[in-house]
Amino acid sequence: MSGNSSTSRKTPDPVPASGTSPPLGDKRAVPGLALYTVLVPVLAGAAVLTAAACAPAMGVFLAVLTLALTAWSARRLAGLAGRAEGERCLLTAKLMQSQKLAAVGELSSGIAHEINNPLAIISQEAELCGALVEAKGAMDPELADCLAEIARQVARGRDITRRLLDFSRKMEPVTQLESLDRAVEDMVVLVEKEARLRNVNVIRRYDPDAPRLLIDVPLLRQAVINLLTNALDALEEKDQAGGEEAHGTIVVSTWRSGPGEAAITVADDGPGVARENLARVFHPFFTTKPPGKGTGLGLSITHNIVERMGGRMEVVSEPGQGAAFTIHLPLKGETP
Amino acid sequence: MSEPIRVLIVDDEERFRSTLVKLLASRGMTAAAAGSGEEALEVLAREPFDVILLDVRMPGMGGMKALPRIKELRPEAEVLALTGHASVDIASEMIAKGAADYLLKPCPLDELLDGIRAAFDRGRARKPQ
Ligand SMILES: Nc1ncnc2c1ncn2[C@@H]1O[C@H](COP(=O)(O)OP(=O)(O)OP(=O)(O)O)[C@@H](O)[C@H]1O
Ligand SMILES: [Mg+2]
Repeated sequence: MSGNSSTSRKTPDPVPASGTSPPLGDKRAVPGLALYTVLVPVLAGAAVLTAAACAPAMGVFLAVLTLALTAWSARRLAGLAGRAEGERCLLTAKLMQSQKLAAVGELSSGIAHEINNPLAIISQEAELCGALVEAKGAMDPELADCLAEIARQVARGRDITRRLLDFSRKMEPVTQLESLDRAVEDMVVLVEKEARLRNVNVIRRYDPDAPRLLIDVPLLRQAVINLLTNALDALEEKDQAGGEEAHGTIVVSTWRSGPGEAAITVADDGPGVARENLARVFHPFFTTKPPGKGTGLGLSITHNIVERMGGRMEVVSEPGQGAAFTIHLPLKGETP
Repeated sequence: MSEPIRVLIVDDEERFRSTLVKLLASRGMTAAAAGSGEEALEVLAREPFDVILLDVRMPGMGGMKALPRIKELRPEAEVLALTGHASVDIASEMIAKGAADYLLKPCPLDELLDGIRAAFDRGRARKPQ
């Protein structure tokens, strides 16, 4: 109940994450639907499989081809999504979303694998180059800086492929009876150090009689850490924009969100999510962060994990007043 | 620790193998390379190695298939899976088949060297003196 207060100050009309795709056009009005729901994922899957079996150059070509194909398909779907509404259409939208996620997931891991190999070679060549120059006694600061930069960029590429692989991982949750606080607290402790450095206040509002739930602790931790790092990032933006008194607060709460549900809310008083972006924040690759900073996968990973545990997500945000992301989990922990 | 660690690199990327051989040599190890599972078995039949870096996916015999045979041929060698293909399933299967660890490419050289040394120490500790 105490946790409720963190969301109640925000405006109503939360956007349910599973309905993030705007309602789709009426099915009858969309004749070529099978193209996007069957043909494109099948083609994507086939391309990934072929890529795995053939030469790297061909693999990269296939990856790019598949990327273009799914991007095109996603764009067409988004276009279709702009039109009508209705109960049944919402259901279609959900299906589309999960099929799109599956296709993007498969594609992502295919690309990640193909890119890891060239990255490995680049990093080794730079190492060897350094060793050779060093042996000749010809290393100078500028050259050393160039080589270090190559290593940094390889690490950056590696972070991206790791994230892609996290995203596409099809892990079955391994659940155990655990209190939400435990999983949440571990991650709060982790983020708190960074928060302190940035003068961000972290407030805990844990439900004192939190029930124990069937949860996959490592997966839930991953889900929670993504929300926490987003909150920190959001407050950093605010810090840059707002001058000295803008320091920011993150409120982490666990609470009972319904008769059969427990919830975790991570709320911050940063800049919030722009209205036009509310429906898109859970989409893979949607990011407003500069290149090299965000991959846009954090929230879709969190969303995937929560869905696999039978839960759902919700975001409430008033631009300028912060954002609150909530993970709702069923008390039984059983997928409905 | 006077004897250099003998490392066999099994990977289908030619340039990956040849450069890693040079890098390991520059760090005081003895390194050789094989381009496939079949080739690795041939090399291993001829000479022993302390640590084997094994790629999972290779044309011909991949790491998954080669691993049990390598373990049969050279039970004393420690195998490190080193691959660009990350999946929990593959990792756990490789470890179930006897790999000592699973490293994901691109792996910074220092981490790789640590992995090789750790595997080497473990292997030596297991061996009856
Ligand atoms: N607490 C928040 N406040 C404001 N905007 C947010 C917040 N959390 C997420 N967003 C918005 O949602 C977008 C998507 O978030 P997501 O976590 O999926 O990706 P990212 O943080 O940009 O990148 P990544 O998590 O992969 O590093 C963000 O770029 C940001 O615009
Ligand atoms: Mg994020």
